Parts: sequence; structure tokens; C-alpha cells
Amino acid sequence: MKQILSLIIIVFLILPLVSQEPTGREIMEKVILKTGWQDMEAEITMTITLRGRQRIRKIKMYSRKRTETESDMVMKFLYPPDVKGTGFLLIEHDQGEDERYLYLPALRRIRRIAASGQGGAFMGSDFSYYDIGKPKLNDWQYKNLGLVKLKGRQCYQIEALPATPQIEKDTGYSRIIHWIDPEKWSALQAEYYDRRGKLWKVLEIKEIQKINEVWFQTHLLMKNVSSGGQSEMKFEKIEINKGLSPQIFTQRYLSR
Amino acid sequence: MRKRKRQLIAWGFFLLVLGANCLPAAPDFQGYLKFFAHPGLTSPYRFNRFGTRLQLTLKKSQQLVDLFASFNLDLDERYRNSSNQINPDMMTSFKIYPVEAYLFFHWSNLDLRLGKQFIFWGRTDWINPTDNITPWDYTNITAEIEDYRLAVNALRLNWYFGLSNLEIVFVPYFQPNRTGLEIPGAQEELPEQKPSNWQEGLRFSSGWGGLNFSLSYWRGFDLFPSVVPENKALKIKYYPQQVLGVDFDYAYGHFVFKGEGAYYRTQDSTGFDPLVRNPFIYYVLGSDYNLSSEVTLNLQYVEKRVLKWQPGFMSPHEKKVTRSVSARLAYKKEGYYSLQLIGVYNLADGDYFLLPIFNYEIADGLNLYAGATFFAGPENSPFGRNKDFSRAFLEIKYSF
Repeated sequence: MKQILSLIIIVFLILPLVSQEPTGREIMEKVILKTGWQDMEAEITMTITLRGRQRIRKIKMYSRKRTETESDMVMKFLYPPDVKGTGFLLIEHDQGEDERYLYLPALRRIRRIAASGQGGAFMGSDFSYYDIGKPKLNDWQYKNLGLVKLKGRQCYQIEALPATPQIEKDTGYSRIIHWIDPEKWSALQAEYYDRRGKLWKVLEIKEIQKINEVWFQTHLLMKNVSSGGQSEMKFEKIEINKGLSPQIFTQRYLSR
Repeated sequence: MRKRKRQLIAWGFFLLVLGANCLPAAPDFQGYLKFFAHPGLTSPYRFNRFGTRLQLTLKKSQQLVDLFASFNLDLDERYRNSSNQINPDMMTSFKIYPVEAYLFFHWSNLDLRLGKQFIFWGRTDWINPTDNITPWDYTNITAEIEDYRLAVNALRLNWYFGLSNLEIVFVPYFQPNRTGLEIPGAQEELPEQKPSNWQEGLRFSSGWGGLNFSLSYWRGFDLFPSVVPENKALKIKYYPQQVLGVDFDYAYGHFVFKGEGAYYRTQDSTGFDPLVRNPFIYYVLGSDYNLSSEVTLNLQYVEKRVLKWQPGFMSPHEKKVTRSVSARLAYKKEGYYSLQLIGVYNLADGDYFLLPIFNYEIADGLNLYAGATFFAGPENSPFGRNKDFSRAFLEIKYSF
């Protein structure tokens, strides 16, 4: 009888602990909807390597949270000289299509681009437009696959499956596996699978920095398993919560 | 004409000197060096142009004002005559001229650009019925817009409020399209330079629910010439016109729907003057479609409908309704190469224009461009008439 009582007590003690194990969505909420930052400014150096050839792109990036779940982003190219001045503006909407605009200084025009081109390569890199934007929480269904070790650290392994066939079509991803550091609530690694279920790209986070009490990924390496190429993104001169003017996130600023 | 050029160069240098000395910020110099060859595509297949260009651009910014000045130094050999006739004379020229040179003042809700600049209105691809400010150089279509568009001296004011923008433009001196029209003995008569001949317009742009739209009005001169018999001679004239326009774009999934239309009010309000263009409606409807992440297709339907049609009083080349289709197929492997094929086909005459452009990025900042402008069709059709301007182009460009 004592043994049964002890067992019941143990079960009751353990149950809350078990139920405290966060769901995949809860973990990704903490990762995606990070609090503590409202806007961000940085310089990015992107190095694209394919078949021994290297391309370098330098970009000035501005980003802000317009609402809790909607963001705006502006990117302006600083290097190489033939693409200097090229600008990209993304205005996210929870309801309806995101707005995407591209300014090409050679044409002196702003061109609206299709919202669904998210799977397209961002400036020829192995990052897609979707990868560089803030992922939308509701675009994916998450499953916590449990704690695993990655490079000596305990991480949550989260499986993300597209919430609709359209998301799969738009992003080109049928499945993403994230390795999430529970201390920093930041991904350390991710695997992207193409629409045939084959491993396509592997993202390695080389460096995470704490800026204004918020952890940011500052050095990313995307390896393209299918092409053998890779793209590296390094963030420098990061400034958080500067109170960026909303006017930066406009077509007016894009063409300036 | 020479006086005007001297004025332009003087104006450009004035801006440069002003910028270099008066603005405290450090200047940003950039530019490019390119070698180009434009062999003709019609017999006797001789080089139309062959030369070198150095472009120097200065940009100097400070809190309230930016200076932008871009100059071309061209060493260019070209045939005196672009027609098919054999002309043994090659014309070698060295030219320095401003591409753009303007001061850009920006306040919290107001932008003012003053000087030589490109101003483009409209949202559709290549064919823009509301775009009547910046003339075209149809004799020099290449991969670069600054070759085939001619910047104008203008004052441009943009007032931003909420999601809307009101743009006001003044262009004091009229500059026509370069069409390559050569009529022996005909004299070109440009509109007199006086304040009442200033061209002016306004454009209101806004957005609502993912739809961007603009309403515009332009009062200026027809950029295309009219050949008019006057005192037993032929004159090339440019008539006044007013253009009321509307344009929009809307993105949905893989599509970006675009449209643009304009009503042209010409000087022949009754249609009984055969020498002046009748009023007409001109519109374009189409869409961009992302075939894949690297391939985009744009298809457009174009229609021009002449109003006040008076049989017996119309020019023999004029048609009551002209319908065309245009397409642009673009493949881009960013950072490596891109291929674009642009085409316009007139349904009635079967004439067409093709512009394939291939770009190969040899290294960061070093590009190779190859392409062709190809006009074809019956002799009196709009594109058929320009057959002799068909040519290929090959350019190597180093940007710094």
C-alpha cells in the first residue's frame, strides 16, 4: 500500500514537470516573437561561393516591428559598385499579401515584385527571400522532437511543417528542422528540405551576440547541399532600438 | 542648340563646384568605364557605333540637401547617317555631357529636385501611356536606360502625406524624342522658349488594401514630331497636348497586375485637321508572373483608340484602333548572368520590335553585355519603318 501511495505521489510530482515541457509552437513563439527590440540597423557582408567563384555583397539593413506580429525591412546595397544603390523593401501584413518592392538605380524605378516569390534566391545567394525575412508563426505547424545535443549544447529539436500547401509552394520547403538553444531562444542550426522531401540546405549559426539584452544571430552560414555552394552572412555595426523613423520603410526612402 | 549644350555643361559644372565647396560632407565618387561596339544588323552590316565611355558620378549628401552630378566622357566613332546608305565617312567625336546633375532638397514631408534629371511616370512595362516627360532616344537603345532616355532640366516637388504623394513637375525647355527621322530639306521647329510653353504636370499616388494607384495630368508637347507642309516646304513640328492618366499595380500570389491608361487631348479637337493628331485613348493592361524564383514573365495588351475619327481627314498611316501585345521574359541567376527578352508585336501590321539582352558578371563590378535591337515588319508599319536602326551591341563595363 505504501508503495502504491509513493508511486501516486511520484506521478503527481512528475506530471507537472512533464506538462511543463513546452510545445513546438511555444518554443518557436519565443524564438520568433522575441521581445526587447523594436527596430534594428546593421551592415551585412554576404559572401556567396559557388564552384570556386566568390561574390561579395555589402548591404545596409533596417528593420522594425510595426505591430507585435508584423515587421518592415529595408535593404540597400553598398557593394559591389554595379549594384550599389539597389534597394529592397518588405512590408509584412498579417492579413493579405506582403508588399515587396525593388529599386534598381540603373532603371531609376521602383518595381513591385510578386509577394509569392519568397522561395527565390536573395541576390543570388543561398538564402531565399523567406529566409532573410521574419518567419510568420502561423505559416508552420510545429512539433517538439525533444532535447538533443548539438556541439555540446542541449537544444530543442523542432520540426516545422508547412501549414498549407501554398506555404510549401511559396517557400519551396516541405519541412524544416530547427535546433533551438533554450537559454538564448535562438536557433543554432536548421535543415531545410525541398518539396520532394530531400535535404536541400543546412543553416549553421556561427555566432550569437547579446545586444541590448536580446540575443541576435550575427554570423550565419547557409550550405546548399544540392548545389555544393554556400553563402555566409555577417552582421556588423548592429544598433538596436534607435527609434528608426517610419519614413525609412517607404518607397520614398528606397529610391533616395 | 550648341548654346543650349554649353548652358547644360556650365550648369553641371556649377553644381559640381557648388557641391564640392559648399557642402561639408565627404563626397562619394563612383562611375564606370565601358567599351562598346554596335554593329548594324542590316546590309552592309557596318559598325554603327564603336567607342569608349567614362562616366563619373559625384554624390554628396548632408542633412537637408544632396548633390548628384553624373557626367559622360564619350570617345565615339559613328556613322554620320544611320540609314542603310553606304556612307564612307566615319564621324569621330569626343563629347563631355551631363547625364544628370541636380540638387535634391529633402525635408520631413517634402522633396525638391532641381536640375537635369530622369522623371518616369507609370507602372507598366516598357510602354507607359502616362510617361511623357523624359524623351526617348529610339536610335540608341542598349542595355542601359541612360542611353535611350534623355534626362530633362526640371523642377520636381514631392509632398508626402500618410500613404499618399503629390508630385508637381515643371519642365521649362522642351526636348523631343530622338527618332532618327531624316527628311531632306525639312526644318525642325521646336516650341519657342517662353514661360507659356513651360511643360507642367501633377501626379497623385496612393495605396489602399494592397492596391497602389496614381492619377496624373500633364500639359506639354507631343514628344513625337509631325511633318507639316508650310510655305512650299516641309517642317518638323511638335504640337501641344494634355494627358490625363491613371495607373495601378496589385500583387496577388505569383502575379503582379499592372495597368495604365491615358486620354490625350490634342490640338485637333474636332478631328478635321489631317496634319495634327486626333485626340486618343491609350492603355496597357498586363501582369508579371513568377514562373519560378529565377524566371519572370510579363505579358501586356496595348490598345490605342483614335477619337473624333473623320474619314477623309485622317493621315494615311493612322488607324482607328491599334492593338499590340508586349512581352518580357527574364531569367536571372543573380551575381552570375541574366537573360532578358523584350518584344512588342503590332497585331494589325504584323511588325515587331525585339530586344534580347544577355549580361554576364565576369567579376564583382565587371560585366559583359550583349544584345540586339531588332525592328521588322512591312515598310510603312511603325517598326518596319525603323528596320535600318536594327543593330547588335556588345559592351564590357567596369564599375568603380
